[in-house]
Amino acid sequence: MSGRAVFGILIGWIGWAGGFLLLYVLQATGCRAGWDGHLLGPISALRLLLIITTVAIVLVLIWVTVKANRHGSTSSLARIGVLANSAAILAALCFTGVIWLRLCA
Amino acid sequence: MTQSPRKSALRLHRELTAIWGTPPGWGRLQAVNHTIIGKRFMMTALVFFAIGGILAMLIRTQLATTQSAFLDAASYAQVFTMHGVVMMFLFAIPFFEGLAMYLLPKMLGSRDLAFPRMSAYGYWCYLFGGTFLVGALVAGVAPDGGWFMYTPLSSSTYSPGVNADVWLLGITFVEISALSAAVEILVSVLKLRAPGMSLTRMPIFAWYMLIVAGMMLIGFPPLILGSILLEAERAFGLPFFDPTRGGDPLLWQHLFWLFGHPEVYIIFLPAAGALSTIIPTLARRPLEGYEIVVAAVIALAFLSFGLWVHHMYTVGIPHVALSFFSAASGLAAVPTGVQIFAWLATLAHGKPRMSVPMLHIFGFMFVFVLGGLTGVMLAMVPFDWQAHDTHFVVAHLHYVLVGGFVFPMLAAAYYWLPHIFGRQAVQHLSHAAFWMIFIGFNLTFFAMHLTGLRGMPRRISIYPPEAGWETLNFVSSMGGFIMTTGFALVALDLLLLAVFGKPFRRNPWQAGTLEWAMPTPPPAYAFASLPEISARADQLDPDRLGPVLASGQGYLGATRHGWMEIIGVDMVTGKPEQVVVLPKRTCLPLLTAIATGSFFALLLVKLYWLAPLALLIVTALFLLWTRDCGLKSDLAALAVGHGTDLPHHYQTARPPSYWAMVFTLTADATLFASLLFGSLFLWLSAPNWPPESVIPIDATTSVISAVALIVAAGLGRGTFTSRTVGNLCIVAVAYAVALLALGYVLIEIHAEATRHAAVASIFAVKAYAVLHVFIGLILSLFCLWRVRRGYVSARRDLDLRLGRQWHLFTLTTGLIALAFPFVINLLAGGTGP
Repeated sequence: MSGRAVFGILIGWIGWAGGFLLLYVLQATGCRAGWDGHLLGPISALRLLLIITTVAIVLVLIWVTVKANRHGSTSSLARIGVLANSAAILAALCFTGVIWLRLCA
Repeated sequence: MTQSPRKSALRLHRELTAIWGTPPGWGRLQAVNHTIIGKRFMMTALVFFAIGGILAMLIRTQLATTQSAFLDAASYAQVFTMHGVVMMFLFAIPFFEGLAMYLLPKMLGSRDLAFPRMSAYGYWCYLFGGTFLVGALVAGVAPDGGWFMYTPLSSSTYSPGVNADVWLLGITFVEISALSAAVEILVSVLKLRAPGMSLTRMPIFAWYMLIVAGMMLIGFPPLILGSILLEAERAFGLPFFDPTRGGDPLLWQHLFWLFGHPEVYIIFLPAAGALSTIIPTLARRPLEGYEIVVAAVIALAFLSFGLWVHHMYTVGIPHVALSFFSAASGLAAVPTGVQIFAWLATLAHGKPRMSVPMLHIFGFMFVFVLGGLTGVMLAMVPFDWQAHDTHFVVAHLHYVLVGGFVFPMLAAAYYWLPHIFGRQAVQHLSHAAFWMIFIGFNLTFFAMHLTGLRGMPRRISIYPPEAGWETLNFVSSMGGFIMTTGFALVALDLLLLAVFGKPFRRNPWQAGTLEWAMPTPPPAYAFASLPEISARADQLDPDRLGPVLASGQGYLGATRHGWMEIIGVDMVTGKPEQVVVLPKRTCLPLLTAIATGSFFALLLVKLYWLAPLALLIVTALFLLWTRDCGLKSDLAALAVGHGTDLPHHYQTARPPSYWAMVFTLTADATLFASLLFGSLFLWLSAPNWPPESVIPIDATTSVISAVALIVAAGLGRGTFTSRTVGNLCIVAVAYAVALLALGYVLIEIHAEATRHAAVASIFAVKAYAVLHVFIGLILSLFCLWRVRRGYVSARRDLDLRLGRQWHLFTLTTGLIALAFPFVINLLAGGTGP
């Protein structure tokens, strides 16, 4: 229980950090593998993959935040968790460059 | 006959001092007490600060005029490198480690940290490692490749002397203290608090230090890994950073800045924690937005790990990747701003008391906010491309670090020195010293923004008269000397405070935190009895609590068997769980640090064949630490007062050492993950990939090793049964088999490892596995010895459970290490071995 409560206030940001790393690795691997050159309609396969991953990350962050606060606890630790996890969702703003910026050097 | 409260307090004081005290003279070498170790860390850090300051003055003297002949280029390179190294590694982090060690047990209502011997060991490693680095400067062989030691400049081709080795080995030696402090602080804050002090009742400083310790745990392993890999390249030719053999200099930058950027926040956040403690006291009002501030600090901690590439904007990274780091860099301003507005709101709603600490808080606000603004400018890629590697960056980082660290440190010094010395400042020099530092600092570094914008690069020792930088540089240098005079006045002022300060009764600032609920200077045991906390621990009444606790009316208000007892609590609720009995003072931390230092010294003088012997001595000394730890019989629950009985920590499921192992393995896993990601990075980005041929790996040895590791983890159970001795014997044999098999693989590929970075990566991953298998073997033999000596029973199985954690970790990383060559071969385009 103790470990879970501490984890609950960190889970959003752990998800954000994992998402950050995943996107960075996917982008670099995709460039190495040449996925940016494969067009799927108007966009490249790599861009589509990164956009889908970004959306998935945001959805996971929202799900985690809602789940962490599903009992609507009013304890101080729960409020800190909601604040921290909500901030993590907003910080997914960092990933929006996948929509329009150049993907590979 | 009952004693009066005063007599009873005096008797308790004598008994506790006999147990917790440290004898004078040579006995001081045995000190493990948090008050002594904390003060030693801070004093040593201040000595290094003075050394770093003198180096800064040499730099400013050199740059004051064009074509200066004061220092030649080689000496200048050593001076500016060592200025950065000393300030970042030997002053900033150790100072706040010391402050945290000194304050945390007192603020949390405990008597000491969780692992006092580890604190002492960390201190000696810091002292010896720092002396090692500064000694190299005196000998003229100090590091000279910049404080970040970029490759290929620091490779053996371009830096053939020992200068770079001094950095790599010295910093790794020093960082032992940072990692041990991180584990120490995490466990102490989470487990060793006063009964009733839930997480959300903790004083805000404890929240800051908890988060910073977590950052240190994750942030330092990439640096340590980078240092090991670069030293392996320099010493043995493993080409991790050599692009001609499949390495990449950018791997160093990634590993360094993965540590280096969080490092800035690791330095700033403890200072912010001190401010969040001092400002409410001086404003006579609780901190506004306690919960929002905690959430902001968590956000800042994670964001700080997403910024590392903002030091590498110019190395040719694709736009989208730059956008991740640029956006994260800009976002970091938000949680920082939340804290600044919380402090301003606290001051605005309170009745601020103008005092010397408040003056330094003003200095912090002014300087740090300016530094933050230039930080946001540099976070934007187009601006950074223009200002990169110029004096603008030097100005920015000094505004952030001096603003975010030095001014808060001075505020903290004036605030807590009465606690350390039991005397209050007379303050004849304090105001003059502040204004000299403040004016001198702004003269020095504001002008540096302008020289930077005019194109003056960093790290140059001379510049031509026609560049037009001389006047601004002269102003910078004069400002630097004014600032230094200010620091000299502070040193004198603090000395006067310590010697001639006014004695006071208790709690001179009318603070609401627990460190003031004890006599000052504090006794070795901190609290004669431990308080029960029923409100937030920054809104208490130390004046009322102090006498109550001194007379033994709290928890553990009596001595027992001469034990050093504290209470362990549930990490969230603060409910008392266990009596933690700490080990006694000893010289072993000092001896172990000397042996550790000899290992690094042997590597430096290239006596590689002798270095393993030093490691064996270190291992033997660590094992000696356990001689007086543990119980030889099961104990009934122990009375701790207030009608509460608690078990001895050896008889509980989650004692502090359990959590220490969890956190140590977390740091270890971070290092291993960095190694794997580093190898992946080389495959992705390094030139001259794939290697010319597939890497030969013997599948038979891999299968033997895997089976042996599975057997070791399977039989290395965490519970005591009649078959434990037999199982432990099999575990030891299994580890010995795995050691032989993996050792054979290492010997087989070691000649190939210098050929290409792919083989070097496999060699490094295998060497990691060998080290862990070796430690597993030692642990299994140690557990066997403990069982045979009667330290382990069904109720006292902690040794087995710690071993279990290690065996499972070794199995996981070992299997990955065994699969790694197959993956590398696959990625490199081969079909597998």
